[in-house]
Amino acid sequence: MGDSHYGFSLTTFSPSGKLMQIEYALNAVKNGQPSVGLRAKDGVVLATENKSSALHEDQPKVEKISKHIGCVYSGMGPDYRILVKRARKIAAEYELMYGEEIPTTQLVTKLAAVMQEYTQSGGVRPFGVSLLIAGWDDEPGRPLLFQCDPSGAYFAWKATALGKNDVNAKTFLEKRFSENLELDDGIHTALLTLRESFDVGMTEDNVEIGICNKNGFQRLTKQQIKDHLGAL
Amino acid sequence: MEMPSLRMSARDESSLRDDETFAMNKAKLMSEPNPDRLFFELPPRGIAPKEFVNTHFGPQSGAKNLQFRKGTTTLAFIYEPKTEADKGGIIIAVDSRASAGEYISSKSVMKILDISDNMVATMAGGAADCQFWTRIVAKYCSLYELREKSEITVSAASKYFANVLYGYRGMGLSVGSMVAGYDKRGPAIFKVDSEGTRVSLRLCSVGSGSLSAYGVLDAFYQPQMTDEEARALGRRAIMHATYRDAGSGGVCNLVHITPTEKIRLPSVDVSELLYEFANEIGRDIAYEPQED
Amino acid sequence: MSIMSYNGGTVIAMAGKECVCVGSDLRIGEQMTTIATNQKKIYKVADKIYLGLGGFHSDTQTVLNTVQFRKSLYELRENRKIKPKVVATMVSNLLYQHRFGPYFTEPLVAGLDPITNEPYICGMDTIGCIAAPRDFVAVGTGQEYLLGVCEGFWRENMGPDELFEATSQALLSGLERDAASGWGAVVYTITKDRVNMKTIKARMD
Repeated sequence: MGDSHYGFSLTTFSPSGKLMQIEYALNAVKNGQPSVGLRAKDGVVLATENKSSALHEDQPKVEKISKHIGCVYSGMGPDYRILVKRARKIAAEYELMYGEEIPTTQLVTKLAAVMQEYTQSGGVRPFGVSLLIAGWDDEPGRPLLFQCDPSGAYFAWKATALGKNDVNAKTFLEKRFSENLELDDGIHTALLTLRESFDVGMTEDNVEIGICNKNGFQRLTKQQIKDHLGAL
Repeated sequence: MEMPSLRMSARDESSLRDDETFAMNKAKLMSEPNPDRLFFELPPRGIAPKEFVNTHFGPQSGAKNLQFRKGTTTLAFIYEPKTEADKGGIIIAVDSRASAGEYISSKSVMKILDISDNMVATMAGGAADCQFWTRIVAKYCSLYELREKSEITVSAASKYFANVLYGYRGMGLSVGSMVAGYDKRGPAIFKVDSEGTRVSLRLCSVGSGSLSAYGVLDAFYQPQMTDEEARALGRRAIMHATYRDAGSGGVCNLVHITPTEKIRLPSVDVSELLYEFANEIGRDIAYEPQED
Repeated sequence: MSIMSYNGGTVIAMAGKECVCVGSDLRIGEQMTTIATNQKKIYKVADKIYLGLGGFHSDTQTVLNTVQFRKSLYELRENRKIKPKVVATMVSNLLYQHRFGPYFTEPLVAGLDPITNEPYICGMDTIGCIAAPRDFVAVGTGQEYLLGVCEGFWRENMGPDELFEATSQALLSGLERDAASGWGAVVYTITKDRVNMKTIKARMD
């Protein structure tokens, strides 16, 4: 009996101990547009390809969750938007409850729990996305980068890549990453990494960048992206 | 008997013409208080006095600190001298706290009021009611003495007091008084209250702290005591009452009426008395804070 | 008499320079009767954070237990020490959840930030409205008297010793006029390296 027999909508173990639905979800991620995350000394960079249209200002892939937290994805856009909505709600509820902003680790834990729930509940399928979550924790004042998978597993990274060509991108990052990068250099390295996976030329119309430092999370404008691309 | 008269009732008044009522009220307000006749301005429109007072000054009203002063421990007892050196007579002991709800409006009220040379009245309930009506009783007693050329008995004075209070029954007066003194018949204590009760007792306590006081009195009172024992008992009963009852506190005022004289003893701080007492029985009342 | 003053009791907190003081009386009563004189109304929530609870004693205990439970869960979940301000928000939310059937207790939070040691004090009403002044707060039956007295005792930038003295004197003065509080007092002085607990002799009536 092959694994394919267990690939129905219910997330059920195959005899070899795999959850095929999750494997498939990861395939969806692997086929998605590439994203890169990199933790510099004083901030975090998220960069991604946004091929959808020249109007990506209106259909962003890099999203802000709270003042100091933002995220990007590779995989299925509609699933991502559900998770963004949930993440924002989690962040807002936390702030209401304790009177201060949610720590990045807390958000990641809670969001991962949501993703895990979709691997074990009836009538649902796992999310077809992996997330890169960038944050800044005021205590003790440090940048953070997390990856969150459809299984609900999450990892802290210095730098990583998702989506198409992620293996090559990660190899590239391993060579180019340095602990002492400033945020601007980080953006530079992230773009170089992203370029490895690009079939076409990078322009401000097909690249999106988000940065996070002590001042909070923000998406770069097209002009800012253009400037950074020009410096490559 | 000379009874202070109330102003005519609201119902009679309504039958008068409006301008007549106005003129009458004006005359009353403009004139000096008349010491011979008591007038009490009643609430308008036939509202019952008790209800009116409760609405505007009661615990439910917004006037938290305007509530009438209440909360007390008073006690009195008669004892026989134990030795030749003792005088015996009556011990009257009281606290000195006046409170309006939880607010302590005074820490030094004198709750033993003089009625005559050898008679006092204690004060519990509404402070103003007690003070005012005790003055009226005192006036009655001095007039009686002048008229009859003999001292009034405690029985007679207290009966007058009780009758006056009975005349105002249902109007919300709050008085719980002990009239105590030495007269030709010997020592006497009469408990009188605003409901009209008047009873003769040898040992008596009135007020919110009276239960605690009774506890001590009943345990340690003896018909024969030395003067020192009697005074200490009175103080101790008041002290224990002030410890348990939040409505009582301050200092202990004590009057000793002997067959021949009325002795007002100096005030003693009840808190000091408690610490002395704790020390005496070797009880450690200091609180040790615990790490939690 | 209202439920808020059924048991009686008063708590006060004052802020100084890198220290806070919190004090309470020791009485617990049933209306006018004093039941015991060893009931403090200050409870430890974290190393340098104390919760003062005035009002109905039974509700006080319920709120305390809930807050301690939620605080423990918070610290385990987030693997870090809770801040006084977070405790205050937590208590406030707990109280407001009972907006239409409130707990009859007015809490007060006093403490130092676990990292920066910044002083924090705040008081609340029964449904969780936080008032966080920089000088002093008081809750309980003697609130009004204490606040008045505090105006006279509080000074800017008091050190631990001076602050303890001011808090104790204010507390004792306030208790003089409140029949439902008193019978001894206890004052905690919270500084960055230690908490000093001290009993104060008070009038016993």
